[in-house]
Amino acid sequence: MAIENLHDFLVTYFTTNHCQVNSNKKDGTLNVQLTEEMDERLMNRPFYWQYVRKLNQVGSPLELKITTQYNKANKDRAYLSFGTERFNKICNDALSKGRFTKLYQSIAPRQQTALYPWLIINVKMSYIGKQQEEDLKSYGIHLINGTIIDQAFEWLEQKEWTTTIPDFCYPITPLIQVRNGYLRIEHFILEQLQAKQHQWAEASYQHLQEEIQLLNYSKDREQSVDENHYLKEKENLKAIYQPKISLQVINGGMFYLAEP
Amino acid sequence: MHIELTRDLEFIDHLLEGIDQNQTLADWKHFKLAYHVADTLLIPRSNKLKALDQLHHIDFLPHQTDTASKVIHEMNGRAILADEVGLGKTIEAGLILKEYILRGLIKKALIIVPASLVNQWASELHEKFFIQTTIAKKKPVWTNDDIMITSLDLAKREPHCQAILAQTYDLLLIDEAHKLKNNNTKNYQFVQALSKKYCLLLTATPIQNKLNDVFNLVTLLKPGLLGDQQTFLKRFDKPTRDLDQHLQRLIQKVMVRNLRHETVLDWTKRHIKNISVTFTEEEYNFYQKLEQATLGHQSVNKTLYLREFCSSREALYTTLIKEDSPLTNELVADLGQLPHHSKAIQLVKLIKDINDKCIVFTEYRATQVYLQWLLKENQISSVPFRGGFKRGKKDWMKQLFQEQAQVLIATEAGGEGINLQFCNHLINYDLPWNPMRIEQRIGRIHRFGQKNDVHIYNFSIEKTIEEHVLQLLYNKIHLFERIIGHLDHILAELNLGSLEKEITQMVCQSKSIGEIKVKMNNLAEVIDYAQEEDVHNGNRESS
Repeated sequence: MAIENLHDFLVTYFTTNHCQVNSNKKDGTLNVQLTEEMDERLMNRPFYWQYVRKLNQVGSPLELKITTQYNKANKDRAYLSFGTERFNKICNDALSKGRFTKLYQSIAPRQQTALYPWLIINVKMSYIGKQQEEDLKSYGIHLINGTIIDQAFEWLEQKEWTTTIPDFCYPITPLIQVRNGYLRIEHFILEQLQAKQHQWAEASYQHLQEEIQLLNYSKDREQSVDENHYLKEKENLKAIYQPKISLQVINGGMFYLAEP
Repeated sequence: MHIELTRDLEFIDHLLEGIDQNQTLADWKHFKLAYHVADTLLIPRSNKLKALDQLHHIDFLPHQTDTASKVIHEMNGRAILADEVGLGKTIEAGLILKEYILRGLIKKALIIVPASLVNQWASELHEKFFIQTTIAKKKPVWTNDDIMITSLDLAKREPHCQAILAQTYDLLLIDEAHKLKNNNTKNYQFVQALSKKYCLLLTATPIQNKLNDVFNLVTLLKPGLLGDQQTFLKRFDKPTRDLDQHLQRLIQKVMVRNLRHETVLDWTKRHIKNISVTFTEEEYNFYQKLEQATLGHQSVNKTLYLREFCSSREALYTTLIKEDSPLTNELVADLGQLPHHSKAIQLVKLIKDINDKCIVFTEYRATQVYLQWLLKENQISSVPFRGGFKRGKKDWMKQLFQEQAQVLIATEAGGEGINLQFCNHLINYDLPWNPMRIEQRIGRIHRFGQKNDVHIYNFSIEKTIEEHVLQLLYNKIHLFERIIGHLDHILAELNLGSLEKEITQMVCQSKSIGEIKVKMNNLAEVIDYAQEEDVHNGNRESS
């Protein structure tokens, strides 16, 4: 599900954000006529926009010229790839714009149709220790009957969505409060984590103990090590090896589906 | 065992707020984009380097990616990178740094490099790895979460020192870390007191002859790995094969050392040419007089006179006038009568023949100034380079050399750190008596990125101390052809702490030229023998 082709992704990204895009996939070039909003977000010229507003003028957004091929880049055409500063900006922009949502299934019924509420959250699970791993999981909870599903995103992707309630449709008010639904999903995740064997954590913890032993050994033998430094060093070792799991919600929101 | 858990406590509040207040929320397209982006930014599950997907424009060499992978996956980010000169330690370090940044493990880092390299590091990290850094200048802000590049001299000065020690860094990177081998120095203690999670020490000469140095470097990374200092020195002081291997294994836990002959890189060749210069009669008479005045005096200073005169009149003059004695005054008077230095004239000729960019290394600043003047007289453009230059000036000189001047005249301190792959002629106008420094010099041009064969010219003056050192010692031990690598190790094994000291002593303790020659010969043979032994046994670095 990750971005497979950067070029295609960029075209999608900019058109989604209402920019005119002229692109040539063969040589990786993209000419993007930015909108005012996108210029402000990506082009790093806050003063320009500040003055334009102050003087009550109409600003003219820039045309962004980029290429996804390193050897096609030049003075006027910047190289854009994973890891460049501009790409990071685009990522952050995309992440922040797509964080919260409320969507209705796009259908055209002939009679009154109920739409059932779901809370969907996509959550990034990070397992941090000696080795580090990350996982993106998608969960959903039916806010009437409390059913919890995973791989929710793949399921949602097969349907069409709109931001307004379609004609003849009426959304049902959740029986389970949204916040409560969220807590139920979290509980579900934690239970799953509890049930798992975490060998990575064991290994990392073991390693931490070994490192601390070494540190203690040198502290006991050498007079020159001062207490403060010893404690700091110990903290730093913990920062590396102490096993941690963190949950971070990437995005989520309310989805109203026609099927009960 | 306890696993720490961090929950997301904010998301649901923000979502509810957004819905309650009827804010504009994402449509499906935006929602989907965000999901894909998040998926793209995940850390891979396997032991893969994520950074490699993002840096398509760099052709990493296998040993570089292997090193980065090893440091991250096996050594957990605390390592000594000790590749031989010119194998791209900076690239390896950059790759490791990038990978950690992508994994979200490094936000705040401190990069300590020699002052002359600060700008080079910053531009390399930015251009190759798209890593934004801040260079510490007049009023650096140490509390920011960013990647700061500084020199040690700046960092250890107040008020910076206190401010830095109060920070906790995700990564500490130190270039030219061999300068931190002595744990009694302020520099060492400062670095040791820094609080850091990950730590990379870069050095081309890790085993500088002394066990104690090894102990100190490793202790910076992992206190306790080699035990405490006293026990360690006692135990490993008298090497046996078993102990030696044991030590190697311990060190390999924290050190990666790639050697040129092990890499798949197709190295361009080195062509060595020794150029012998004959003194004019006048000059030689003076030299002999100098020799008479110095031999048998057992004074280190006097051997310096000989070396200086072989370099230039000016170099000797600046030393002589400091010592106001009847002898030196007489010498100064004689010196004034001499014509242009034969070697310098030869140099002009050589540079004209080369007719391409070349670097001239000299040991003495006075010679540097003299040569620059002489080249100018001969319509050859040159720029000077020395350690004392400020950062900006060094960069400027390097750029001038690259774009305009034909010749760069560098003194020793210029040897470290500047990378001049675009040039492939190097002239050793005079030779340092420390072979490591020669490798440092050559490493400036014969390194990763050099596309042409490298030509090295060594000047020596017939029948002088220079000739003895070059012919009897350096050539015999194949100093220039061989990539040094093992020489430091061999010297350590022979208990020859510093070759420079050894030669100086040899010269100042000998009563005649013959004696010097014999001693020099002996030394060369011992070293050469040890080298062959070493190759024969398979040296310990690759074992």
